[in-house]
Amino acid sequence: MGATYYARPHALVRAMLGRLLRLQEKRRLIAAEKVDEVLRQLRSTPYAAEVEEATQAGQGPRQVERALERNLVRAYGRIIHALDGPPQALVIEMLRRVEVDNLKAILRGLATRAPVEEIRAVIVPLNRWALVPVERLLAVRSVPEVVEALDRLPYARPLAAALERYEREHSLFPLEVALDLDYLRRLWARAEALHGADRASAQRALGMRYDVLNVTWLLRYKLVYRLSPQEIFNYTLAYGLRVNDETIRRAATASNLAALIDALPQPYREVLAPLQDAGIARMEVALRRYLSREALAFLSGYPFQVGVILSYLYLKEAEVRDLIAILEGKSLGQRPEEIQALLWSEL
Amino acid sequence: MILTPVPMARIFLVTLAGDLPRATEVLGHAGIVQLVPVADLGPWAQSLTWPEAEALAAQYDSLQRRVGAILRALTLRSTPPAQPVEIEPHRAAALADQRLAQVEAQVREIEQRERALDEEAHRLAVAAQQLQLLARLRVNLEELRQLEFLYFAAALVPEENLERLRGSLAGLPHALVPAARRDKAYLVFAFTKRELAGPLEQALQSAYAQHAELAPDLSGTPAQALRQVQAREMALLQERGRLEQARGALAARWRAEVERIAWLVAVNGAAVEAWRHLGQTEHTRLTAGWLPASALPEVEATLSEALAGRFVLRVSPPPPAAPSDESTRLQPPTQLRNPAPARPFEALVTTYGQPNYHELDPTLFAALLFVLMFGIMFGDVGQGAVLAAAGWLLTREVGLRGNRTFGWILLAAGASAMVFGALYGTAFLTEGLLRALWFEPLSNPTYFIQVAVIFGIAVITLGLALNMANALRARDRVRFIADRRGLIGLWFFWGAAYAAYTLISGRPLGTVASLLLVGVPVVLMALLEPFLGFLRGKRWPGFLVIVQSSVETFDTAVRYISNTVSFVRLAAFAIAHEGIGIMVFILAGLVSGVGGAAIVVVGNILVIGLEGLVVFIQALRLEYYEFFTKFFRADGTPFRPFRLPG
Repeated sequence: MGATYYARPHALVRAMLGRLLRLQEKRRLIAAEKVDEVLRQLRSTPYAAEVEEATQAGQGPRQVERALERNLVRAYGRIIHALDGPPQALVIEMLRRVEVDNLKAILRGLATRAPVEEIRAVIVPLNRWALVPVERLLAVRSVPEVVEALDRLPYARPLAAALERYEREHSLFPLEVALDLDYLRRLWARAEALHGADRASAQRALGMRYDVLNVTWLLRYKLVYRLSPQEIFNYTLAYGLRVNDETIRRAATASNLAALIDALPQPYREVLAPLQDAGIARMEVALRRYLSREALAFLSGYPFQVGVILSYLYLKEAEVRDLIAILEGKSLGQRPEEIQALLWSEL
Repeated sequence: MILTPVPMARIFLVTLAGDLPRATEVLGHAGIVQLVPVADLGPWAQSLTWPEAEALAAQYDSLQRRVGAILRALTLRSTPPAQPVEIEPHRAAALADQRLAQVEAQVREIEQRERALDEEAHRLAVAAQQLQLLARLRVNLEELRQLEFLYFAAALVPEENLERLRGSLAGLPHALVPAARRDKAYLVFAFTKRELAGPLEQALQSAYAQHAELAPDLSGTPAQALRQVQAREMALLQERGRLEQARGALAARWRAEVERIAWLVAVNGAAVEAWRHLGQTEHTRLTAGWLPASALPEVEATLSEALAGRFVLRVSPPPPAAPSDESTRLQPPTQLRNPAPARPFEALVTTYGQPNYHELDPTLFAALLFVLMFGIMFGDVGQGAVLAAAGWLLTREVGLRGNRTFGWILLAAGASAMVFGALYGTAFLTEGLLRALWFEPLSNPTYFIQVAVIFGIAVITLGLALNMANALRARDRVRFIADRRGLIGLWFFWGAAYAAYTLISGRPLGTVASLLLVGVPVVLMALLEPFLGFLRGKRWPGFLVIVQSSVETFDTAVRYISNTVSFVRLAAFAIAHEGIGIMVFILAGLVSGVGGAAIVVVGNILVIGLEGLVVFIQALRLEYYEFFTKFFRADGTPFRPFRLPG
């Protein structure tokens, strides 16, 4: 895939990059007094249509958050339309992360016996790219029935394998981890199906994200869930750019946080070392900010490669996630500096 | 004119919302309109997009998946009904949803029984595998279940987790033995010290392994237990037979209804898929698309009849050719029109790229050149006849189906090889069987190389001529004159070729003639394009632009030379063919009797297979790199009209 193939998608991505919010706009959103003020400001951004639609329907901040995610799906859609072949399959697979989140929301809803309308409200429709029959899933009454209803879809196999543990442990953790690992494995396989320079570019862009996921999971599994080294190893990914099996093994057997960070390769060691006392949430944010910086750096490299598209999509995802964090922060009455500390983009 | 694609017309069809289904039927059954998404028409059309059609399309995607699942479960096929299906997506979706729900309930029951049988069969198979491994032990299973110092676990590990499981156990004293693979899972036996049972269990659990301990309902020695398993498997087989009968009865009961619904969903789904491209206002729908200009009167007449004149049809000619750096999204699609003998060779062209609507279709030239070049490189009457015969068999689909296009190409290439074989006097690698009608390649390689280079000059000249013809068709005088593959390029190419000829023949050109033939066109190539670009409205070419143009000119000049030299391979392969023949016969001469004959036969087979393949690739390479790059933009899109099933 060369310049001819990427000419149109690249032009589109450049145009869409120009529609990402500027730093000043984000600062103004954080400084807003209340949620209503945030919504008013969002009406003069590329999210206007979704926000308008949600607020006109009298929906609250939660629904506005879903509306923002619909904007993300739309951005994916535009890029998918501009591609074909293996790069398109890769981007469609990336979009399916939203579907994995939808599935998790349905499973959580069922496990907590939440009303169907409440579950439906947090589902982000994937339109043409959806595999999951959401309405059918909303009609079932138990987690095993969900697995049955997913018959022949790629999500059924990992969930079926984890079902026995769910029924034994009454915890969604094994189901959610199984879904995540399986999805990320399939996504990596899509990157491996690309050819030549495109494959290298995709593996680099995705590899960094996988590294950050592995490091984040290591921190949580080790410090929050206190899992054994065997479990930590099995619940992490075999793919990545700099974090490999040996890194994971050393970090999983580390005796304390300092040793864990010491076991990590650069630049993650450098990113996390100063934050040892800051808590896991701050460390995760620092890793995400590192990813945002790398995505921006990727965009200034050779333009005709799939990595540029993946980097844009990461930035867009981070922006939507940040807007949701701002809305939630404002709803909870957090101070601007508290909100700012949670954002994936540096201001 | 066969060198140009079928002339297209752009249509904008406005219908009343209520008439859209009928209009869709007319267009869908005609199968001659390629729809253009309204969003692609320009900013003015952005507000016309039709989100409801997107939602309907998503609904039909889901219906199609459900129908597919039922068809698979009942081993039915979607077949067209006697009466045509009407397009009513909303009603059809509601009806399909309701009917499918009824069938699904019963299909689910069958599937649940099937799944239960599968699970039992799986459990028994795992047990049988375990017992076969333990068959030689003469101890009772009860004793095996209670080992004192060792911890033993049998488990089914999803295949994608096996390597991760191994990695997680590094550093823990253990043995992990994969015993068998079944349904994307490995049956593994894991052993460790009893006090390390905890970490081993954690590892198995986090690898989503499912315990497959020796079935508690089996007893006695492994051999006795195996017999129990076999008896149960027999019973299971009988149960499966009963299930198949039930499935057959269900299929017979629902066949007509499911097939009707499947077709209803297929037709309405295709219509809705087409509607995603349309635009809408409150009461009207806008269809934009391309169709062959000759089909326009018929489409208009059919629409008039079907919609009783309630529509507006605006027709416009295709827009002029887009410059190479602009989007071709709004350009018409290309439908090639070649005579039947050349049609199989369209595959050679479209493999490189689809001609755009405004450029000449190179299929005819590509066909002639490919056949000619293959023959030149693979000249052999006997082997050519074998290839031609193989091609003919492929066209008749003898043995291999679905390779008719390739068969025709092979037939033509083989025939060409036969002709050149007669010219070289070669048959089945043998010289002297036939009298050479032209010359024997190995006897005069220098002459052959000269012929190949002259042939190359002719091919490249043809490429440049086609580029200039494309420029004239696009009324692009600048490209005709100043393009490096235009008139100036041709001036340089012929000038350089003549200068090289005089140099080789020992009568080099003088300084003035050299400058005139080679120097002047090089300077013009470097300067003229940027300056004429300026005259066409581009920015004033700065210093950097001139430097860039000079570098590109140097590159072009080198390419002209290398492209021409590249044609030497025509002679090289023909000479190599004869050389291989001599080698085969020398080897055959070393072995007496049947052995020698066998070497000749095997040698011929190898040459037909290997050299034939290499020559095929080389002929294609010469077309793609030396010929097509001179004129062929290949940025068109194929004509893919909207068609309703049936």
